[in-house]
Amino acid sequence: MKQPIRAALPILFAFVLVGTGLLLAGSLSPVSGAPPQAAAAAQATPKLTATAIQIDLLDPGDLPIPPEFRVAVYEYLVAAVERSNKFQHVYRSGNHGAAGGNDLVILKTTAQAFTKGSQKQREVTTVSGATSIKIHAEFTDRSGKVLLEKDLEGKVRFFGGNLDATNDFAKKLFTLIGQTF
Amino acid sequence: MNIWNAQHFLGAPEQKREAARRSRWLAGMLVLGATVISGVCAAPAFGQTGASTPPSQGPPERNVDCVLGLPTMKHHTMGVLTVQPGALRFASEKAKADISIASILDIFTSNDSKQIFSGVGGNIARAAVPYGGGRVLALFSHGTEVLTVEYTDADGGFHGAIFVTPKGQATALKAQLVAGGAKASIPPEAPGQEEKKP
Repeated sequence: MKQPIRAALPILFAFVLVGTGLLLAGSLSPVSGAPPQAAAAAQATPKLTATAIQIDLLDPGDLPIPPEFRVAVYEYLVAAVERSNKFQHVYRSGNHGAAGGNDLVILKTTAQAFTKGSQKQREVTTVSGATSIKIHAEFTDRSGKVLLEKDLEGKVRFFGGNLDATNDFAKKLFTLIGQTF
Repeated sequence: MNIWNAQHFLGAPEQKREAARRSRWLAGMLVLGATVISGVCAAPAFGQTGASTPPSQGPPERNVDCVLGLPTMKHHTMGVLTVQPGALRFASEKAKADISIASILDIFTSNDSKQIFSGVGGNIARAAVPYGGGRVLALFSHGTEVLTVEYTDADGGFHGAIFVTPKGQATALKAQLVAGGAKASIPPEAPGQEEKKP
């Protein structure tokens, strides 16, 4: 009885080995397939170049956005743009130095939707109380010509204060700047 | 009779163990109750510390959270926020930052609440309580006020600073700033009243 089991062991081992190999190949294939897609996307959208950027204050539109959210979006944006190291000069809204820049791009943001949740509700229920802010971001040149525009959403679903939604939005814009400039 | 006695004597250590278990359980419940009661009692006190204590009494308590907006401060730095002649000063343990009253464009206050068990430590504490009991800890919060100050730098660039203060302190600070000459699109209200947002 022991003889057949011993004989089957190498076959079983081979099966396990082949299975593991197939699993590894399956898990790696999307990663190996990603760069051509990313390269295609990069080719489709030509990179923008600018040495200076001016960041305007969030336009709340008709939405009742609290002042702290408006300010937090702006400050996190400035920090994200500075952290990206894509521009030699980062000008805040109203900065006199921005007038002299040659290839200046202007980042304008307009609020499109806003839901103020509750930190307590989020942490007690884990399903409700999320804060979200949807913003239309627009990169224009000095004449007002739109170079790039995109809608981005910042959310805080589980842990953290309501203002973290604005930081989430800034992180997404940081990624967009990295892909575009 | 002998059989009953034997059973009785055999059960005695069991009863002692049971009694010890009950006393331990009772002690545990007492400790838990005391913790919850002290937490509930402490919650309102958190909100009152800054508002009721005059600034001249004792060393100032660093009870204001500078969320963002001061160039020399990291996000979420705790410190003392005071109105000095001609400036709003935020002083942390290591540094000080002033906002000139003349450079202030607008000031806003709004009510909010802050979880007592918050941040990384709070999340770990909540996760450590078994059977999902950590969510109960999320119920404990205290009232806070948010002070938003919009100002310009020397180059005319717009800045915004956000401070989370104990309840009542932001309103008092706004009143002091406006009295000192700062601009505010919405006039300061009496403490306890929330101003209408634009």
